[in-house]
Amino acid sequence: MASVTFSNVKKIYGDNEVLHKVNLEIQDKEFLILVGPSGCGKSTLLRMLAGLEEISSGEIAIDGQVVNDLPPRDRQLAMVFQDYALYPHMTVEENMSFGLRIRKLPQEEIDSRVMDAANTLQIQKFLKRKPRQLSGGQRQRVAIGRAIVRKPKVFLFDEPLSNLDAKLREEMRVELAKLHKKLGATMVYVTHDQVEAMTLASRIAVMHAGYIQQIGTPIEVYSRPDNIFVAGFIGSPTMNFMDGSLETEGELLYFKNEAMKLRVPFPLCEGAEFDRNAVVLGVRPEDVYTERKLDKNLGDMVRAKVEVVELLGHRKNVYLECGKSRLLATVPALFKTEEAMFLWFDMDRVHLFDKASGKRIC
Amino acid sequence: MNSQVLLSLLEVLQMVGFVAFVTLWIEAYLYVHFNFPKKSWFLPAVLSVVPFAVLLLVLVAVGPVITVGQAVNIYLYSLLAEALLSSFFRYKGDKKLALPYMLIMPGFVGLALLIAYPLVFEVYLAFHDLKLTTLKVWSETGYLPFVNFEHFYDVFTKSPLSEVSFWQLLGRTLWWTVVNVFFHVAGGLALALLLNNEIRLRGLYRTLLVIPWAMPCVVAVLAMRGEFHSEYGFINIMIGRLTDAFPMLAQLGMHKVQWLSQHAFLTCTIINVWLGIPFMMVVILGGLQSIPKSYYEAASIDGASRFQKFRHVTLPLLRPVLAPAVTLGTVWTFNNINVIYLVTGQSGGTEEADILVSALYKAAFTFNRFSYSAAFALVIFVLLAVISLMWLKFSKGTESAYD
Repeated sequence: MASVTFSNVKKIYGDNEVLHKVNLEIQDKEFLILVGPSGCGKSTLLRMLAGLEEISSGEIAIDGQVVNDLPPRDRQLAMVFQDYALYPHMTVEENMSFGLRIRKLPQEEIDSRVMDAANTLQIQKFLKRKPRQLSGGQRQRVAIGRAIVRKPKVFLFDEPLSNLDAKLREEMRVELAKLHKKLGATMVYVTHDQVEAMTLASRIAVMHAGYIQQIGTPIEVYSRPDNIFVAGFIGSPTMNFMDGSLETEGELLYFKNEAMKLRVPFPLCEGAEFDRNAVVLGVRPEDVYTERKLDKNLGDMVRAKVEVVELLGHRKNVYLECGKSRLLATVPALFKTEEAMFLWFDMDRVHLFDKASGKRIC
Repeated sequence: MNSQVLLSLLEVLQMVGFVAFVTLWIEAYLYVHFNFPKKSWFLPAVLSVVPFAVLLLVLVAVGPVITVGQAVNIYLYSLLAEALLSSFFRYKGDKKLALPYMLIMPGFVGLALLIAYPLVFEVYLAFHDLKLTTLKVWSETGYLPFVNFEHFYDVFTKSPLSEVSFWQLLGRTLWWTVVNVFFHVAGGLALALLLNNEIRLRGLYRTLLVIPWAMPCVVAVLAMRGEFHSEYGFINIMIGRLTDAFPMLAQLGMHKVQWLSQHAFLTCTIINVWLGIPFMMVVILGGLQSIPKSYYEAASIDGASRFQKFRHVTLPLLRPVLAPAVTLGTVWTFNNINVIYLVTGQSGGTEEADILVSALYKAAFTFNRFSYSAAFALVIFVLLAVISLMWLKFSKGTESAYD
């Protein structure tokens, strides 16, 4: 197993720089997930690691060995593609053993590895079938099996679950988590689905517009997003954002806009540069309360008008209008909603960002 | 309006009637093909023609009432009529199918005019005797002597032309087909693989390479024949220049040759290979471009070299386009009269390059042995059908590689 290092990696297509000096360290046995909206460069980064795309500048190293000029076959990686890329003219067994046969491993070794992988993934029954005779989920398993038999240094996954339907995706997510535990392998996984990222990752790298926006464990990224993009991208439903300004009255700091005046009970970052007149307050829907809670550090009261209520079964989504901003609060399903409501934010869990740069300032 | 006009009108009507008849016959065939064998009355209908056949046989045996030829004719036409009538009644009962049948009718009329009518007439000719000496009688009285299988017997025992035998022609045709198709595929594959790379001016190369295929075959062949002319052709001129410039080449045995008379088969093969490559190239290029890139990426990561990718990914995934293309190419090459006739067909032309179909054409239109040629054509048709069916079965050409 192995670690992977990206240092100052750039990708340039013609005049278009799609990845800007990416630095990333992936530790041994880590499940690192690259997550971001489409076009953010996450797949390109993965394909550069696989050797399918040229590295415009910078270095990629596997286990300390720079692999920039190594062809894919010498990098000892295995990859699972979004469309699985199972060879349609080969049986499942032939698909899984192809890489081993190419490398001229002894036949007994090939057979035992294929059987092991098939047992792990429970696809023994399908070994003699062609990919076209399998369902999406079964093909997915075969694609993973093809990677496992290779015993690679690093597993690469390029949006492996996005071609599956929602229920199967959840099942496969659990399977993947189990697999990572069992194999204890280094895995790099690309997805645009932040739920996959949150549930599977040891660490998440959030990407946007060719930059890595934040790297951290899922809980770090969730509870202390570095900027507005990460705050808005991670978490479902999306975080609420409100524009406003910061004002000091005596010793106390207040966040103010046309609809609210909240005392900010925590200090701002030292040395953070921002415009006091244009800041953004972020609060997740589950941190919006519709009644006072004594065990929470709730802030000042905010008045809001109810627009729409959606019942989800266990929870209710309440869409509210509060000044110029729209807010979403998730409340218990039995909660009675009225036309106008009072809200409190959990002040331990609100975030302040500079509006111009998007950076966190608290 | 005189009687001549009336007569010719009548002939036209007869022709239209015949076409309509054949059209209905093809429809009936389709209907039989898809539906009849499942019906309960199918077997009795088939069996009912047996007593009729026996009756005809008896009539022939007893005496001078009808001849064998007439009996066969009556029998065949009554079979057709039965198929027609019974399908008509079935299809009247099934209103659902009426509209679809009407909609495909125009296509059937075209088929009937272009294929069915000539085919039926050919079968008729093959069993009668139309040649230069009987042509005049036939055009005046419409009478043609019935000769049974005599022409089919002649095909295998007498030379279709003046020297070569049927068996020589058959061997040469097979050799011609194998050599041509091999070079078509090899050349087409090589060019397609080159054109499938990201190279500059790819569109230009592709256009240039398709030209031999795009221009009329006759023009292309005649132009190429000019280049093989022993005195003024490009090839002999180049050979002359080369041997002048490098006498060593002449010592090695390089010299001008009479391409068209002494090496006619080789010349025809070179011309036809040149003509046939673009089609294969276009087909294979299409096949190559339909192979998803991710297979190659997966193979790269699995550790395959360029050659291994070609061997394990490209070739198997080209099979679904190659198999039908090779089948078509085989049929076209087997039946390729253009090149050989245009290169060797003039008066005094050699028979050295003739294959079955060009010999057939010469037998019919140079030697005026029409009925013999009709029988010859049927033999070739059966041969080709058998070869194609065997090839399709053997190559699994109709299976898709993807789903």
